[in-house]
Amino acid sequence: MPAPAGGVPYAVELRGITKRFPGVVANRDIELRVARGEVHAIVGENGAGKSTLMKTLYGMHRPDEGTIMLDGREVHFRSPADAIAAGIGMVHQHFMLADNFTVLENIVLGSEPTRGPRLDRARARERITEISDRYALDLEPDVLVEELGVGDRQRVEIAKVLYRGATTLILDEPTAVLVPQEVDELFGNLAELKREGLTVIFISHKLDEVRKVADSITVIRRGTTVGEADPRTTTARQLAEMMVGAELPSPETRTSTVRDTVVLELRDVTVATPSGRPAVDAVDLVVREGEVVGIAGVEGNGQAELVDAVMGLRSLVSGVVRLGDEDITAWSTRDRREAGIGLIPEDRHRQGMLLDATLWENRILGHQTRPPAAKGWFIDRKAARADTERIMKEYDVRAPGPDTLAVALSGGNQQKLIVGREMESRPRLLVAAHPTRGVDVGAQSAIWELLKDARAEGMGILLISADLDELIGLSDTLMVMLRGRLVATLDPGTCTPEQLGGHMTGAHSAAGAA
Amino acid sequence: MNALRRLGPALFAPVLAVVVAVVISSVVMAALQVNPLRVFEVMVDFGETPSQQITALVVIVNRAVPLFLAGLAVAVAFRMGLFNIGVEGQYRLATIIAAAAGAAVSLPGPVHVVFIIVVAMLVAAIWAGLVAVLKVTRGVSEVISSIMLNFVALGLASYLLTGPFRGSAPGTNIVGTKVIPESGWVPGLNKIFDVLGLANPPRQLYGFLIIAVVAGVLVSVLLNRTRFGYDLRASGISPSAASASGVNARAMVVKTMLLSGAIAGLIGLPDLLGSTHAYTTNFTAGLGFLGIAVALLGRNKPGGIALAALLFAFLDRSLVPLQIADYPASVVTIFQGTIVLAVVIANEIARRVARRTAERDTAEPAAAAPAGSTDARQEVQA
Amino acid sequence: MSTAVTTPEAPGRGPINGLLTGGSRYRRLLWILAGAVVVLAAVRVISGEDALTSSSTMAAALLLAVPIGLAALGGLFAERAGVVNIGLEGMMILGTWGAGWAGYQWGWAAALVGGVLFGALGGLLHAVATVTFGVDHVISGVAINILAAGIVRFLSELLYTKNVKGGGVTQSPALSSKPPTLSLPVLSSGPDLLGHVERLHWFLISDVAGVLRGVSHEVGVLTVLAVLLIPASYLLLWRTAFGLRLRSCGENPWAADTLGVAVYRMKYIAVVISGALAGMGGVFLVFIAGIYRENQTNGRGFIGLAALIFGNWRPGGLAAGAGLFGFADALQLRSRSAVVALLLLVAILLAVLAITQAIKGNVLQSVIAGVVAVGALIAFLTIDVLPPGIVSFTPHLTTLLVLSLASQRLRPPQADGLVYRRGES
Repeated sequence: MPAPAGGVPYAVELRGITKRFPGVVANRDIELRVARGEVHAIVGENGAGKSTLMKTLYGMHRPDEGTIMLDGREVHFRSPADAIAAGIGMVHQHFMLADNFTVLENIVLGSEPTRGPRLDRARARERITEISDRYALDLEPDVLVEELGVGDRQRVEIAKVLYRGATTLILDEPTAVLVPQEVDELFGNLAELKREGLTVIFISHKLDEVRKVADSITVIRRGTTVGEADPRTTTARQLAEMMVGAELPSPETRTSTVRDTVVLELRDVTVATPSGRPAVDAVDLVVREGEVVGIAGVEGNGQAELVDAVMGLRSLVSGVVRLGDEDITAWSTRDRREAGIGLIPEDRHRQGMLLDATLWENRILGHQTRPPAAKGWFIDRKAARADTERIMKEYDVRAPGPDTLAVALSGGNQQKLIVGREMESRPRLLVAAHPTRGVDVGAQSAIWELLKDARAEGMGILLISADLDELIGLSDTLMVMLRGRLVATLDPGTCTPEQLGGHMTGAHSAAGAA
Repeated sequence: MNALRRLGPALFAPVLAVVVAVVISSVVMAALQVNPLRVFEVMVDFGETPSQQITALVVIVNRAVPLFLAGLAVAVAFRMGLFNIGVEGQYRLATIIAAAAGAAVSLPGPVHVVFIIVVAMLVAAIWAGLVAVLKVTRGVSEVISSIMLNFVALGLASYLLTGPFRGSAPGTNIVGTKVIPESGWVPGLNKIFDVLGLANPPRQLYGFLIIAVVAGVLVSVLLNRTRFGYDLRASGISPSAASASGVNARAMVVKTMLLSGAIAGLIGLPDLLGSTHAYTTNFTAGLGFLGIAVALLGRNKPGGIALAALLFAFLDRSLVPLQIADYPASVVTIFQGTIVLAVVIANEIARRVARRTAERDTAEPAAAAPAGSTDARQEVQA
Repeated sequence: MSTAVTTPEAPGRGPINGLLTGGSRYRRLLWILAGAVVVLAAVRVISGEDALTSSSTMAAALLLAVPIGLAALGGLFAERAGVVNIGLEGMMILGTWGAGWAGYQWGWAAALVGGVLFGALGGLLHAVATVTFGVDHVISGVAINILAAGIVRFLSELLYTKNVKGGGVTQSPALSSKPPTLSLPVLSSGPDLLGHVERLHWFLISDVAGVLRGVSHEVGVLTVLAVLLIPASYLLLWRTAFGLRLRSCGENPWAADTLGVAVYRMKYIAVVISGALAGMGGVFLVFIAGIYRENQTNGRGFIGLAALIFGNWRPGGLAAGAGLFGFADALQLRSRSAVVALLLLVAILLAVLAITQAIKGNVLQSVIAGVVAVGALIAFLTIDVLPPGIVSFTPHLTTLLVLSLASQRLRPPQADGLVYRRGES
């Protein structure tokens, strides 16, 4: 569509946008055309360049080449303040909220109503309530953001941009942390916005959602525009092929490899939080050799604390943890690792790697008390480096050598190293938390294959993930965690995403809350 | 050549810092009508006769030994991400108690020395351990608690010196502990000069130099080659990753502070066992804070700390000649202070440059991959 | 359909328990304050140390609380913007020198300006290192402390040794004028009713009179202004748009950046203000002594930081902390025998702690508290006078004890101490 219908200029038009970072071209010659009053989706794989593009549109950095046009006029943004002034509002994927501030303070920050030098809270409250009613956002201005759940926080983010008079909203992966029912709520909000004449740009890699809500779609692959699509005439499969350029990988179920021997048993395990509420509430769980037990659930329902409990990073209020025949409840993390528990952590930068250290030092992280790392009290550098080289070759970790700093590697390669080092120690139980998060497609399928092979050889795997396809595809047993309890056990072969989502939010009926 | 290339980035920050400090100090001096070039001339002038020159070198090395130990103590804690700012209090308290203990017993030669060393290390380790315990059990910031304990230690030392441990007669100006008997003295190393055929200076080169070197080597091996050292460094780089890998964070804090304290206990011993043989009111002070400067300049590595200690010792030694030549001697303190600030900034710049180069070196070969491959290798800021 | 979390209902309370521990934060604070005065009065009567609650001690306490409080206020501004400022001591040192140098030449007003300016320069240096270059905040602070000590020594040597009388390497000539004072008309001067009541030495009534007279008799005008800075800071930080933006830099600077807040500029402003306030604290030290003297600060910059932490990063709290530490400081300077009486106070407080911990079931902590309480009691009964070396660290030890015993319900700004670089997350 080179020219809009009726001569009305596009609300947003990007021509030839290019953005480079040291060592990489994030966006190359991007073309984008969004008509006023439509919901326009930008789809692409993880790492395709969508977020970089949106940051350019929001003024967080300037493009190296190309022009941005709003309503037919060329604009140059030097900072988000300029973009805000031009009516563009960004709702970030990772919420930009100050926990210790109230909803009101978060919304007005940077655009505060004042009466002389004083902050005019009354006027702010008035305006926020007005917006909340008009767009059905259900906000309480004086609540601390810390106390809000995920869906509420997202609505605060939306209110932030509406408060500033945004006429074009950019939503960056808004459904990443929502379950199907909450996604429908969000889409309801978007319909409301559209009815009020606002324009919405919507970034996602979830094709079924995109087809449900978008009026038109732009596909981006490896930094450049691949094409535009009309959701009414394009199938999900065609979209997917445009996104990836090839066949979609997917985890398939194979014949069962579950054995009888129990590797991990959790009985009545309870973990408390400082406020007294249990983060993990009387959980019973069994993982057998050769079995993948998948735990589904919206983030923040106790999955992280469950992992900590298994690894010995948090103490239990009550309950027993058994590894095979032994009661390891009182064991330290080091002892548990030495006994054969491996960990692929949820946040590899925080728990899995030493970024400012070399790859060989990272290879021995978590295994520094055993060969090849250790020789008595000392670290065997030569053996560690040699082993790191071997792992790099076997697990396809792309880097110059074992002395490279870990920070230099891409997320996918870092994760492959972590998976490699954990597999090499031949653990009896592998705790895999979000093992393919932030990882490109190629590395993702490689990691899935590794997990399946390990399972076939008898490893027990506790898989925690937010990727429903990953859970359904890999698990032998699928459980749902909600508010610290395991509320359902499902058959991955027959359950649907809607069923799963229903249990994840606590709506037990198949119709779900409406 | 390859070694130099690898050392290059490591030397960059300290050298840059010293250069910047020289420039800034020169500007300050010139602005206050002091000729910087003349000042530098006086500082570098070691004297005409070989005996004078060797004496100057001996003074510098003697001053560098305690500075080196101070830097080592601070650096061990820094590597773990802890700030042991309490080194000052630790060594002062340790020295006076060790001096009194050493004067109270009479043991055969080497044993007596070892006894004094052990007492000093124990006292300082316990004092540092207090900081660790408060941090681990009550969550008190080690920065504030160690600074407060510094004042407590200095107060205690002052009380002990004028009270129970007083050795000198009442009414004297300079109060001191009882003098340690000769079996507790560490002999000087001046025999080396005879062996090398150089002039024998009137000052003795501290024998404790050898112990300091041994300490430096041991610490280096400990940090880089042992499992404990790995755990310590990992805790400093990323406490959360270290915990997930099995390191007991609280135990690590305590062990590190005990180790750092033990090394700090050695700081006062070169002077105590090599020249003064008693703790007096004008015993060398301020080594704790200079130790922080030396550790920062030496980038927390024993080799660098040794060089930094020599530099600071050289600066300290030039105080007397400057006063004789009628220049404001505290220009040296400005110099030392500027170096500290310059080095922390330079360290930060160097770290950033290193990261940037590492990222670039890794991205380049990937960018040469053939087009059409489906896996996106670069982790784009998407 | 909000998914807000509900906290469980607090368990039921009896009426007396509810009266004492329930209600708003202010009511509880009032009770603590009242309790403190009562206990202090009791200790005074038991030990006979009138200095504990005398108006002269209280006046000294106020005088010494001000520098600590100003340093703490400086720390507040910096840390609320996300920058930890260990260099407060160094900035205070710069402030004392600036005040001495300007004061002996041009009087007390110039001393105020000079001290604030020098402190602000120190703050600027810290800002450059931490905000622009991204140096670790604690390291930069320590470096500034070292540098400041060197600078003031150098400047003194340069300017005071040759041609100025009264000055030397470690001190300046005396100030040429002192700031004015005022007193409450009937109560603290003239008929001096409060003084009269104080001299009656009646339990609790005289103590309260002593406290009141101490803070109202010949109080410096500037002292009053300094105290007013505390509510002023509260208004600035919590009631204006500027304050909201500043605090957002300490809570979530990335969020603030996306909303157009100039984060770097805010941090700079906050840290420079921090240095200026610390410098002002130094000015007050010079006013007390009438002269700049090396090592005048004696760790008060750090004690101010401790007061900030004790006050949970709020102006009211840090004022209470400054008052407490100022009191310990004053006692140590005025009467060494009164410090012994403090041991009785410590014994009582620790005994209470031992009992509460025993009720909660923490046996180990209860036993430790009990043992130390007994030890403090014995020390009180057996010691007459503490030697000067030991007394000198009374405020520092007090600081340490308070920080160790204070409950862990501290809430620093969320991004405090974080090295923030724009664009990196």
